[in-house]
Amino acid sequence: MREDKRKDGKEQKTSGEVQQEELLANAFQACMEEQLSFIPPEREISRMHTFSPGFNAAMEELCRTKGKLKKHEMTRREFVFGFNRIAACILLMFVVGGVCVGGYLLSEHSLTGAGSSGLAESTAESTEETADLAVPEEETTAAQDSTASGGQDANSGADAEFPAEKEFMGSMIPLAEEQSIPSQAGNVKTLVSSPVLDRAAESFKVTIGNLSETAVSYSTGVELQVYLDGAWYVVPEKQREGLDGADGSSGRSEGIVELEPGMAQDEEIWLANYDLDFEAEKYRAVVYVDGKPFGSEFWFEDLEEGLEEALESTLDNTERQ
Amino acid sequence: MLLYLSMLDTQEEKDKFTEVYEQHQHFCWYVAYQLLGDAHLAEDAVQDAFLALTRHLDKIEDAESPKTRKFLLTIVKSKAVDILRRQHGESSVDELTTEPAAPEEDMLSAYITKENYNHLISCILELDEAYRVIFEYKYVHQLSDREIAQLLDITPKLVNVRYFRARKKLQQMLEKEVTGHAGR
Repeated sequence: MREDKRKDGKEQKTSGEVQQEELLANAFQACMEEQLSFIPPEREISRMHTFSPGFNAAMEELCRTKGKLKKHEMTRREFVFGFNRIAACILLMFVVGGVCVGGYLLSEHSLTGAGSSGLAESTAESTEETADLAVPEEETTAAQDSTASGGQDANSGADAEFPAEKEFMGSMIPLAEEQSIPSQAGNVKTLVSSPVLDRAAESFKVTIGNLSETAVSYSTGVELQVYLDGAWYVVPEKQREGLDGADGSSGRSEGIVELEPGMAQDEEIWLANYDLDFEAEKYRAVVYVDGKPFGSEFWFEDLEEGLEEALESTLDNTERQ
Repeated sequence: MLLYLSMLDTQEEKDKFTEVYEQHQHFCWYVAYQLLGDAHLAEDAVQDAFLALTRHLDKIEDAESPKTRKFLLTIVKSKAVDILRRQHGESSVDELTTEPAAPEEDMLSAYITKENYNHLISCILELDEAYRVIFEYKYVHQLSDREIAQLLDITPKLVNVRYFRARKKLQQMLEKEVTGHAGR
């Protein structure tokens, strides 16, 4: 220590100071010796006191590891801390990844909806209005769906702006009573088998899922609606005679089906039952679950998408002729 | 070869540590018990002392030597003092803030003379253990502030603070002792 002081550039000790330190050291040595002289021999003390089992165990471990006991504890703690940190990082990565993918899918979906309808501006407005109308959380998806749909919700509070009837496939069809319909609310979900249908498809399915803990019931009378000029209109069903499916069942037998908790049920809709315009922007299948409407949107593939098939069928027809 | 030597060294250290513990465990407990007055707290102090010793085994040459006994005496006393400090709720932060080191007021060297040696002895014997251990580490065991800090689990700065407080206390005691003796 004294040498360190010199190295540090502090005062150089004089011989007097060194003597004083020696004197001090001798005095303390003498005092320690005196103190030690009052301490009984080891054997005598061992008779006075027996170490507790806990102390003996701890000291045995200390002797065995030469003080590494504490190090091990530290390592274990560090390991747990490190493990937690890694787990937290992985969780964070999942969350961030999920948000990014969700955001991407959402934007992709909204872009598709806005692009096809050409009503991108009204989409923003409709989002705000939907937020006012929609029930928080439960109908968030509904709000997203309606946003993606190109702004039909903007009209939900202003049905009067749209004609009560519109011409569609040579006949007048009525305006739908509910314009803003969610595909999911609470623990009930509806989903079409494919959001983009082949123009040659004979039917499609709507899946009704009950994720709640109580049974729900729905009407099998699935309603088809078409989106025309910013509003939804009901597509009427054709006369039944001779228009049932190939297997003889129409799939539209009206009735109430009870859906047990955690169960899902498919309802098949035969497209031949309707006069449909494949060029229409989109359609939706509306199912009434416990009296509440749920809508699942779909549309028919663009010509570009089915270009190859269309060309092939054209060539086939030409050859036949 | 180097690996073998390092392993051997570790085994040697383990043996040395065990030997020291077996030779002095009751002695250490007795010293701690004298200060703490509680058998279980004394055991805690012994455990703390031996744990601290594991990091300074190089200071021990022979397990049975009086030097080792003195070194253990100081370590155990300092650990017992630490327990007493904790019992009184004293923290190292308080020590640093309430009483800063004041080396410029240090007049102890003026009283450390051969003539005053006996006074010095009697003052040291009366000096509180909390102060004595700092002197013992510095003057008897010749440890640096950093080494003392490691043993006491405190900062070198706090070692310095405690050292100057100890010197001040000893100075006051010596002043009183020498003046009182001269007055007779």
